[in-house]
Order: sequence, then structure tokens, then C-alpha cells
Amino acid sequence: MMTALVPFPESGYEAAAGSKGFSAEAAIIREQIDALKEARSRAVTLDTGDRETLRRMNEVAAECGKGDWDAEGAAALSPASFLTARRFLDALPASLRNPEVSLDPDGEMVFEWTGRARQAFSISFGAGGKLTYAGLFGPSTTHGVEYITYGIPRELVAKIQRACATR
Amino acid sequence: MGFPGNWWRRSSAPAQRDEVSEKVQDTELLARFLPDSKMFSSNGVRSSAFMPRKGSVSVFRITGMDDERIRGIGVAVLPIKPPKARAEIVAERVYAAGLSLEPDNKPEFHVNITGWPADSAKDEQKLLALQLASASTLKLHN
Repeated sequence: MMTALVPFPESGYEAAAGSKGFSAEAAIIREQIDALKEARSRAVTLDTGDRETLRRMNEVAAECGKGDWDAEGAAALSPASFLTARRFLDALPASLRNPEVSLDPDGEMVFEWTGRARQAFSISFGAGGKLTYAGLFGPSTTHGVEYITYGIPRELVAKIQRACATR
Repeated sequence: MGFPGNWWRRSSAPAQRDEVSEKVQDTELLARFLPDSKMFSSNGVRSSAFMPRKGSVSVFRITGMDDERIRGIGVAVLPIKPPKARAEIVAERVYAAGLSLEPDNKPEFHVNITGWPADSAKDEQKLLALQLASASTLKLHN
């Protein structure tokens, strides 16, 4: 374990922070940028796996600061989604394998775990701690919505463990 | 092989619209082109590759085509960001998920996967996308 500063590379949000806008939308964006800056400056405890996941999250943020990253009109990464993913990573039990990091076409960051054939679990991170998930456990399936409150819901951790268990 | 008109064997001549617009048969092979590395990994195709864009997912009929021709289609349809890989899936798996295949041949060989739940039911969309990703085979274009 070590203490590290949360990095956030050039991804377009920084540049946007310097722009002057007076509309309601501009105020919302400024608020989100401030939240990102706060997250960046926060000292947190990360193990090696978490650092790798965070590095990948920052890569995705840098690559997808603008829309159409999939050449099919996908939305840019939502800063609010990044923050929910960051909260989730901080609360993720160390016993769980590190997720692969991806992005949905609506701009929500995704963590995905893949086990053996037809074993997979995927979570999309929305604003306000919203977690939209789906999983395959052989012939069984699951899907639903949860929220991060004071940690990751226990049922969700169990489902991720189930998807990873038989790898 | 019981495909309508054996259209896929016409490797150079443009397929006739009335033939390629016919219903996609269970055994036909479809390709989803993946221009971004976030859509796949060494573990296979990720669910985000099959999440619907404006209510559909674009795939192409590739039954009987060689690798070079399939790659050529990918580059032709995504010229600015050529595919780094493709997900191949048999049509039967799409139907088994309860989704539909609507050929429009715009561009040639193009088919839309439709019948997705509404965007407000994203968890249901994710489950279907996860099922399609799990049922598909990753082919790298490097």
C-alpha cells in the first residue's frame, strides 16, 4: 500500500475550466470541473491494482474528453460518471480482481470483469453514485440499478465475486 | 447452405439490394467493426461494443467472405477511424437474445440490430450487450 496523489491528465476538462461562460450549463460544467479538481488534489491510499485501474481511467478520460470517440457519435466521458467510478474504486474490496475500464456510447464509464465462458459482470457509472449493472453467470443472468451511499452495496460485491470466481 | 440467392459468393460484383435485404438467416455470420480499443481486450469483446447507438447496433453480413474483404468493408465504412478489430457473431445468437436483425444494405451488407429496450432501461440494454459480447469472437485487424 502507498499514498499517492490522484492524477488526472490533460483531457479537455482543464482547458474548459479556463473558459468564461454565464449560462446555466456553464455553471454546471464549472461545478463538475471543480469537483474533478478536488478529486485530483485529494490524497488517497491505493494499492498497485488500484493504481493500474486509475491509470486506465485517466487514459480513457484523456481519449474521450470529446465525443464521437467510436466514430458512431458516442458522447464524451461524463465528468460526473468519472467521479462515481472513482468513488467506486476507492470502496472496491482489495480481494476483487481489477476491472477492465471502458466507456459506454452515452459517456458513462464502465468497469467490466470477465471470467470463463459466459461469466462476466459490467457496471456503468452514472451521476450521483448511480450504478447500472448486468451480469452473466453461465445460464443465469442479473441486471439492475444500485447506488453508492456509504460504500458498494454488499449484494453487488457478491455478484462481482460470483462472476470472477470460476475464472 | 440455405442462404437466399448465395449473394455472399459474388465477391466483386455489388450484391443486389433485393437479395441482401432479405431476412438474415440464423446461420449467417455478422461482423461488428471495432474502431476503438476500449471496445475489446485480450479477454474478448466488451459489452460497450454492443451497446445501442440511437436504438440500434450496426453490423455487416460477412458469410463466406475472406478476411481481406471483410477488413476492406471495415475501412470503407469507417475511413476516418479504421477498425482495430471486429466482433463476429452468428445471427442465431442475436435472435436468441430476443433482438431483431433489419437489413437495409446502406451501405452494402449493412444490417441493424434492433428491438432494444428503451434508453431508460439501460440495465436491460447492458444485459443484452453483455450476452452478444459473450457470444461473439474477437478478430484483431493488426
